[in-house]
Amino acid sequence: MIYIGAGNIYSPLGSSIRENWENLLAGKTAIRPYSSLKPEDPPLYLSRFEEKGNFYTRIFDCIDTTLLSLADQQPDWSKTVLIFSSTKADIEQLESRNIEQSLLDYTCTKLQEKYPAKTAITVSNACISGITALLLAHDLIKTGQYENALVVAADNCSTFVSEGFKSFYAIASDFCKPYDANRQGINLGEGVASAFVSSNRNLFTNTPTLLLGGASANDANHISGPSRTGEGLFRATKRALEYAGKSPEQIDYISAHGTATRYNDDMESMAIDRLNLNAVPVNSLKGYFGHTLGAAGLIETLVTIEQMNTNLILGTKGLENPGTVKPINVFPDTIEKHLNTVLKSGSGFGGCNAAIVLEKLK
Amino acid sequence: MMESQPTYCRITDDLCSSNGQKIHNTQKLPAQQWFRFLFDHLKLEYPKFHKMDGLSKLGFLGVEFLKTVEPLPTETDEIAVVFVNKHSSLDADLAHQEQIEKGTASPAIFVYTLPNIVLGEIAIRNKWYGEQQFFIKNEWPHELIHEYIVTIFELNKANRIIIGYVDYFQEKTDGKWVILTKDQFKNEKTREEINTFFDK
Repeated sequence: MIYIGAGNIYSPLGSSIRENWENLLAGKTAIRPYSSLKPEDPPLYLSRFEEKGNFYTRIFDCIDTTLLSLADQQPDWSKTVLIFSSTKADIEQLESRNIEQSLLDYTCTKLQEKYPAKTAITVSNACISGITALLLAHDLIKTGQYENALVVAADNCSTFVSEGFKSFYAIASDFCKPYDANRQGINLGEGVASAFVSSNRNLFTNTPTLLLGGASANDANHISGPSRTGEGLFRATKRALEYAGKSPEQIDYISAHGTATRYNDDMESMAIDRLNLNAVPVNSLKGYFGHTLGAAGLIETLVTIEQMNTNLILGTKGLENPGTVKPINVFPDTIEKHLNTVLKSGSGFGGCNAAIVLEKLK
Repeated sequence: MMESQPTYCRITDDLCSSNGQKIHNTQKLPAQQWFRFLFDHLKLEYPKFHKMDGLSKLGFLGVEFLKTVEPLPTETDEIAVVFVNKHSSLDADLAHQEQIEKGTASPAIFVYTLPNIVLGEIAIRNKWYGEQQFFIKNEWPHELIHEYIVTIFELNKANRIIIGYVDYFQEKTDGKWVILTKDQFKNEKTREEINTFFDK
């Protein structure tokens, strides 16, 4: 069996998983309006840390807390792989043309210097990076090649990214409204998350969750627009269920992507419909954290684990009137439900999609 | 029975070779024109190629040259693709950064500021829906790549895998690809050959 635990989140909603969870339960959002790069442009709604900079301080702080909840406060590093998930890491270094410092492996190398895993690698698969990092961790451990994986995910809310999404007209001019009939686009966010995946139950002091694995699939349709039929997400989810040995009827909850762009949310509803999962409760956490890109998959998986532990499903913040091309079970306020087996899915630029299955440890 | 050998491809600033066939950049064409020359050599009808950035063109060409030696199916989940590089999408990143500074950010450039876009281009071209992964590392991660291939074959995630090093930054081209089946990967000599090919 493969376990995930010792998760921690450092986001503008809180510097520990506990603080994040309390703020989520209280329905708080970290999203605020900020002035745009061009003063004549409308304000940008972002989930951003109060202080700029401190990229590494936050990552190290997040991982150190994760380590504190391990049995010996250290894993056996010689049996551990370090997987760093990010789209752009410290890309703002490009503003002053610090090329070397802007590169993803620069960050990954810094992490390995401090946390001496046997091997270390960056995965960069757009907005599904966090999920593909967990998939990689699971598969490497499942095949007996490692005992543990330290999975770290981080992305920043940079002008680089916000100006890019703006050029796509994919940014909302207000708080984002995932799955809402009047949704207009995304709010960007930033954050860090870390967790351990391991075949060693005794690594964890608290009860971990089972990670049953999953799959990724490409839409093979368009590089910047999701498939209208939800092809890749449908295939990724179907394969993830097969791989985990679960049927759609066993799924109690889907932690979906829900970026609040028209196309993404409709595409997800298509895939959910094709899988006959329309009645299963679904939420998007983008209204709390914004879209944290390469960190989103891990942050949302860790919140999913908190939801499983409390048998609560958070409402989709920003949702007023559900309005996707196919009906799905979304709701604005937190509900109670016994959660045993759940899906976490995501989709991103490049037509990529991924899904993993988690199960409560009995 | 003779064991089949994997298909390789290499593209640099000066040379494109796939299993012995060689095309030299005798005219010393700059990267974009060199890519165009190779594209024309393949006689493909695929207008989307011309919209791609350098990294995507390079990755696309590598897979097309593999296909000239080893025909591959379309409409399949059974071909996994894993690419690695050092510079991620830095070439497009700098172009996008310059556009921001001029106040003219463009979606046509921004979309290429993610390294995995090349994987999407290849999936679209070939209708490949299978597992994909983009790794970033300064040095070729031969241990992890080996381990990743093991996961794909042992967990039956695909029956073939394309492994590539695809780096493109400021006109400097470095591309290496190999396509492997599960049986070919079982061969110790083939594994060593692959390590040597990528480590060079």
